[in-house]
Amino acid sequence: MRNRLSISALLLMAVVFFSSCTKDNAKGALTEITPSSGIIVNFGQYNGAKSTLSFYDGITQSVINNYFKSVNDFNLLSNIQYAYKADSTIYFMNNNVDEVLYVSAKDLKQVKNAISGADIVKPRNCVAYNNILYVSCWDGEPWTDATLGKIVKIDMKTNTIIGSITMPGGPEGLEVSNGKLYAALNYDTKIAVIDLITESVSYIYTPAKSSYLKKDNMGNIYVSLISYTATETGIGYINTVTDEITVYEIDGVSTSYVSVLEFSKDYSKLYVLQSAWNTEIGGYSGSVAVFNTATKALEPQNLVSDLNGINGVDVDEVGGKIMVFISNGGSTNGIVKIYNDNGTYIKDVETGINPFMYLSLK
Amino acid sequence: MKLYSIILLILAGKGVFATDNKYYILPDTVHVEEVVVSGNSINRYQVGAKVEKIEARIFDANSDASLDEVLFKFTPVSIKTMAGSFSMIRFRGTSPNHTSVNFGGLNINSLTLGETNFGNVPVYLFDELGVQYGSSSAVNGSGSIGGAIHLGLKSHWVNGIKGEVRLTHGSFGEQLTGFKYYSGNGKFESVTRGYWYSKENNFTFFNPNYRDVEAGIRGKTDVQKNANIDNKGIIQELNFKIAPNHFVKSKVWIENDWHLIQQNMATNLKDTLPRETLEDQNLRVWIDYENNRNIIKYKLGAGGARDLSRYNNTLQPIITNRIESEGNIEFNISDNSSVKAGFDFSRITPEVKSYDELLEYEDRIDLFLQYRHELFNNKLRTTLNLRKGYVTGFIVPFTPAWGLSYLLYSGEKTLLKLNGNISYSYRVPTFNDRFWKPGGNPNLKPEKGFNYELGAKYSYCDGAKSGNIKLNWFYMDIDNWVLWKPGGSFWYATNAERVISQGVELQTDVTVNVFNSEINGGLVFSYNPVSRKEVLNMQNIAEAKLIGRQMEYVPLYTGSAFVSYNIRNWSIGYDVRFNPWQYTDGTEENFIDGYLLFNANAGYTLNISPIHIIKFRGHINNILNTNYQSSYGYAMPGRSYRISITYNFN
Repeated sequence: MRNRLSISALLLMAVVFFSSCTKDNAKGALTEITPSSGIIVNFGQYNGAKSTLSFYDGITQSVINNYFKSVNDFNLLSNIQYAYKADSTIYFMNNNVDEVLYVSAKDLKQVKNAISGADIVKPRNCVAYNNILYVSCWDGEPWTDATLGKIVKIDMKTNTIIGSITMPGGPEGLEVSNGKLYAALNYDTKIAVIDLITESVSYIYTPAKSSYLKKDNMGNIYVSLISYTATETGIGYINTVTDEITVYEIDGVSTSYVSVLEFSKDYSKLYVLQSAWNTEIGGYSGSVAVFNTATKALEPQNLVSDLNGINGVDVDEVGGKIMVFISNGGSTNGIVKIYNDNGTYIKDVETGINPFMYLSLK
Repeated sequence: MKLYSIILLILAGKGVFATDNKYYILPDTVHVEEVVVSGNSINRYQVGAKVEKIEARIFDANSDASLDEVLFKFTPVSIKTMAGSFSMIRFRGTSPNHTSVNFGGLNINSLTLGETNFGNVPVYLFDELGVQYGSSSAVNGSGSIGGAIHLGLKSHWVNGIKGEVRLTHGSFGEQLTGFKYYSGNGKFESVTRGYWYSKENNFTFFNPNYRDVEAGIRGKTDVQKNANIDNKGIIQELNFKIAPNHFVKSKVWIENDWHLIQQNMATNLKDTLPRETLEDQNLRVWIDYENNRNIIKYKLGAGGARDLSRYNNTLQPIITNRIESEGNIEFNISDNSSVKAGFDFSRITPEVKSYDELLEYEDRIDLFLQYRHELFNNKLRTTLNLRKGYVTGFIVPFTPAWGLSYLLYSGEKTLLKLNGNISYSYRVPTFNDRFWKPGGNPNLKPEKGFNYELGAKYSYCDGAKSGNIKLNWFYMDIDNWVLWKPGGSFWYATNAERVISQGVELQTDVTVNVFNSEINGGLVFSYNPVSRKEVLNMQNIAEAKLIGRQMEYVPLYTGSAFVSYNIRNWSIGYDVRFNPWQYTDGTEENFIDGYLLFNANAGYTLNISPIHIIKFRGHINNILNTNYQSSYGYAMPGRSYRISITYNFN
């Protein structure tokens, strides 16, 4: 009996070994990129599988996941912090591994090595102006040393680093208007304003820390004012001629990455991501508030409310659809909830892990 | 016949797992039953539960390793490790904080994170290792949902002095220096054990993440950087034997563990590599008074622990302090029945800046009652455990357990025993889960488990040959599984999932004595489907897809085999462990491939004189230099060696 059982166990182990040592990894489909196409950026896991891109078809509102790998036959190796399209190139600000990776917007193929090195440490955000890509970098851990931070300048013709501007306070969101570069500071209560000719820095002081900037169709800038510990949150409106800020208090402005503020297609509304403790579910849940840019007041009705795992709001600037990103945690695929511009729900679509922003390929 | 059966059972216990340390006598046979660690029976009141002890020879041969390595090689548990610097156990598909790790009366799991880094537990400091499979909260209290590990120290009651010094050297800068020193007069004993382990961990591996897009190159040979380990610890025991079965035993364990957090393979390619440190400082103290001389036996224990964890040299480390006491009284009602009642009390005082300022301390008290009964000439044994815990501001479920074992057949050469156990279990969510700001949720429910266990053990011995075959089936239903979920701004803890873990474990061992030598071998095989039955949001299309799918980092099958040959002062051994591919997250795309690891060891004992012995031992791990991952994206060492020399004096 003993011998038979032992032999059976050995055979079973052998069968298992030869049948299940590896798992096939299916390759995704490719599709034609059209002006209505875009990509959803999934942050991925910080200590596991990294970012992925989901291809979005604006006509059918359908998604093809793992698109970067399908195109390039290799995975991304970093967590994308921000994606930005400048002319025919898409730049990805990548953390852990820290680098600025760029691909063609026509096919998402990576044909050049990423820009990396000692100058690119924790890149966060970017903006292009006069063929220079300005990249905000934390340059270390600003939560332990608030003197850290800089803005790296990359020549977009050669994609090489040509210099940097010291910027303590954890520079985050960037915008350019009226020849000035505005940098939200994630670890200070002020916004940096850099004259792009002289590179002299002045500051706009704020009642809370700032995270992301969004330029309207008049060249003025909205900024999210956030707090990790207090309730003093809201949005600011910067007149880029006078550099004066007007603050509108809004509860619970999200500290999530990137897609915290987004304009509607016609700039009449600014969608604001909110988050608050929900006693009913015993956890945080989120909503998308609607800020009327004409009346400078919140509309009484949220676009959506009480969503678990809300992680960002974006607008397909071609189709006008509103996308609300839902994260299901660090190890599970997320979803994007798609709405018409009047807030009518269309459908849910599965994405990669931790979706947080949309980038049109128009 | 009786003597023959005694030999049978003693020999039968010489596999990997020595389940049999004490024995009792039936009219025509002997059933060695209890698993004793640190002088205490783990399973006396847990009949039917699967409880084992790593056999002394295996334990000794692998005592240079850390706990994760030994468990991985010789048990069916799953280990997720980062090159040995940070290792988490997944017992029967449960999470790392579902396994309690017991030292004296202390569960050494972090009170803030809920788990133990098994890479920080040196086997060298201990004498024995108990492994308890399945739920045992009714006996061990909060956290013992998937299993429990018992770190044991034996009392030697030396009369004079004895000791040992060990030097170990291995690949990738591995060094271990250890000593044990025993002194006493037969009644009083002082035992001091210490070790210092360091490893540069600068192993070579194939890095598939290297890519030069412009040159069309992918992958290259790389060397792991910034994964150093530097651990040291000391245990001091002072034991006093007042009379036979009447003791006072005390122990103090001071541990200081430091490692660089291993960077993933992609980051490892960069010239400027993060250098993140994690340092753990632990002070654990325990004293027991035990009197087993009379009909009424009693035991009192008290101690405490201070655990400090410091990330990247921060000035605000995570600290928890606790004082703890326990006591029990045991009474033999009759020759075949006994009862035991007791309490556990602890007061925990955290020093964590991110906790609610109003949280000064938390009190926990558990009351328990255990009953054991034997019937039909002790062929049938049953135990009943009842436990109720009370935690400040928190409701803990009532936790009963019931077990049964039956000696179905007892022949001249063979034994067949059946076991069964039903037990509830629970885990009080960690301090971080409840009090971390933001995101901690004081209103969390306790995690609750329900465990069924059925087992059979067949033992055989014909004098020159002996062996065991053990087959266990289990079914575990764990509800209110706590996870941290994103909440828009902050992550928050919530009771998110219900998980079903079930499976079969087969363990065999055989010992053959030929020509004054001994051949020992065995197989360990497990089949463990683990899946979610409920998720937080059943309407969420991505989450709902996970229902029924195998959980992450839980291999569906595992298998290991070992063989050793001992002749006179020589021994050689060979073992192999197989893991199939495993999911690493909730997607279908991300997984780690299966792997097969072969290891070998050899030893020689030089008896210079009865009081001077030198032991030589060598290991080669991962003989085939297999490139594999245990954690997604993190490299593991290839072929490596470890040699040690131990000088014993008596």
